Amino acid sequence: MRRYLALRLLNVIPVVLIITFLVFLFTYLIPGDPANVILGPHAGAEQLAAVRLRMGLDNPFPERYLIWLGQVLQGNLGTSYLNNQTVDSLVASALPVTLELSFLSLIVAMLIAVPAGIIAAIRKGSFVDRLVTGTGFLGISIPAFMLAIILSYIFALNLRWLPATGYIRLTDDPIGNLRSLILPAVTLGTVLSTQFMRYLRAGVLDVMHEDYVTTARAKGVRERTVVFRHIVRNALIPFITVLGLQLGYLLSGAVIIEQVFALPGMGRLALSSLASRDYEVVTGVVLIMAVIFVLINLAVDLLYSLLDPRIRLSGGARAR
Amino acid sequence: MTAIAARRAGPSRIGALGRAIRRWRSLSVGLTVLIIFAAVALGADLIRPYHDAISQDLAQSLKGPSAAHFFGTDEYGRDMFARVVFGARTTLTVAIASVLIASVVGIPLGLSIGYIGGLYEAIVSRILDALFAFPIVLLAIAIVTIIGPGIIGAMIAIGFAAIPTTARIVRSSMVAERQNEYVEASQSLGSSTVYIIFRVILPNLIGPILVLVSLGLAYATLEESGLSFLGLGAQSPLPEWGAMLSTARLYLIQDPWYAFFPGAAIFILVFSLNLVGDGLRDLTDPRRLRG
Repeated sequence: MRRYLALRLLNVIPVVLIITFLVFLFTYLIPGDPANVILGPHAGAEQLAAVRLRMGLDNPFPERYLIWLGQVLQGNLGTSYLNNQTVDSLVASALPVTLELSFLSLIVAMLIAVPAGIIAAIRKGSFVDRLVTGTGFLGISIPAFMLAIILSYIFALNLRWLPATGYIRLTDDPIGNLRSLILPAVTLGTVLSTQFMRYLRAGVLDVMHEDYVTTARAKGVRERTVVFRHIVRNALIPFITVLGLQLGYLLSGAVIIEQVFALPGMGRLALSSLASRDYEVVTGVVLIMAVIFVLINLAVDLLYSLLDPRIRLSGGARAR
Repeated sequence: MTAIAARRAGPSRIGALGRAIRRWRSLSVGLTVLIIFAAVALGADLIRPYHDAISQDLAQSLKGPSAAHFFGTDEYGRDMFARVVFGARTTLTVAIASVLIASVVGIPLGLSIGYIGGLYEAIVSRILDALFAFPIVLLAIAIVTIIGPGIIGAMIAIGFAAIPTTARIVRSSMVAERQNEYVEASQSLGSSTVYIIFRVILPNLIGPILVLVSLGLAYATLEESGLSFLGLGAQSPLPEWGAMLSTARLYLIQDPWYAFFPGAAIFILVFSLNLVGDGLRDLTDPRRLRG
């Protein structure tokens, strides 16, 4: 276990370093002179030179990268050009929205996919199975934003059950917060659940024909116990890796859904900063989201190794 | 496939055949729809002049379907039928170009790390992991920041985002294929590594790669419309389905038809690409044909 932990943690360090390098390369490639952006179009040559010197813009690339990396590691992501707010504070207010949306979507997806996937596999070929596989196939063919439009057309514009756009903070009004997130979370969760259903159904089908399931039946274990203790439990473990792989989809989807429902999360922050050429903020958001992705994936892997002793005993990385 | 089926008892052989025909059906339905979309994209000018897709007629704005405008008109009175037809060209161009980027980089990378392994694989895999960590929309935002909004940026973003997945899938096929005796035979004949990877093994991986490409096209189409929906892809007045939906949702109450046609176009195209991908997967993977 310790060996596996050490290996897995060691893998994260180069990945995060490469991410910071890519993000810095990105800031380096942005056209235009940051000094110009800060001072505006009417700045004199001397002023520009002074700012360039202060920001270290004339230093060689590797030096600039290391200085930038040092600041980032201290938790300093820079300042917005627009209103002098620190990028940290902007991210701190936007990130919880994205994480809350992602978390709720994940819950919705599991609530749909786990029962549907399991029943479809156990009653393979039945009407329920066809319904699940069919809707699953439809679901992977529909963009999340399109489902968002359809659902808000029905539930917000026509029935007026839920708000079409806007966000209420959890600390201001917990009920209002939930109401403002139901449509976005159901949209993203439904699209995600179609992916999950396919994996779960396949996973349960794989496990169903294992010898230990036959053994359990042969020794007279009740069918319900066989299904829940022997089949479902063992099918859910590999499913955890699917969660890790779908995480990118979840975060990316959250960004689009935020835009549709006007939720002030990371995606909206990045898009509005892009529109106002506030590149420090764009950089900060991209970096934070990528690092969060790696960390959640790490957590998923560690959870997987806790639940599946074969992984931690072999000490090797899991097969992808 | 037939050899495997023949060994099995009668009823299950018929079952396998039935499943094969059903699979062929989904493959042929998918391919047919796909060919129609490709033909529409290529021959768009023959169906309607491009002028129709961009010329405005404010007196005719937000009209539902009619004999003059099959799919109605948008907020500028532009003919939605022409816009949806030309939208096929935009979407397919971006989807194909991005899958091409992902394949040209991802397939050789996946083949080589799967074959060579060792430190080379460890290093390349870490870089792929890092690239995989950027959610596609944020990658697109970064690229648009550098080169400006437009379909080129969308192609690069979708293509780059798909490189890690492409490489990983190809890698796992390679790892399985490498075990075969014909590979060892070629090695003992003294063939070069490059020759073995690309001339000896690659032809045997065409099946999984075809599946990867068709499912990749489905995914790229979804992403392309999403990026254009956010304003990061195709720019006005270029007709693009996702961008159309983005404005159509502002007029949902007045004119739901506006959103309906571009939405249906995205859905049908992605659905048929998924049909083709699924059908190809079942055809090229005999295990699934039996099971």
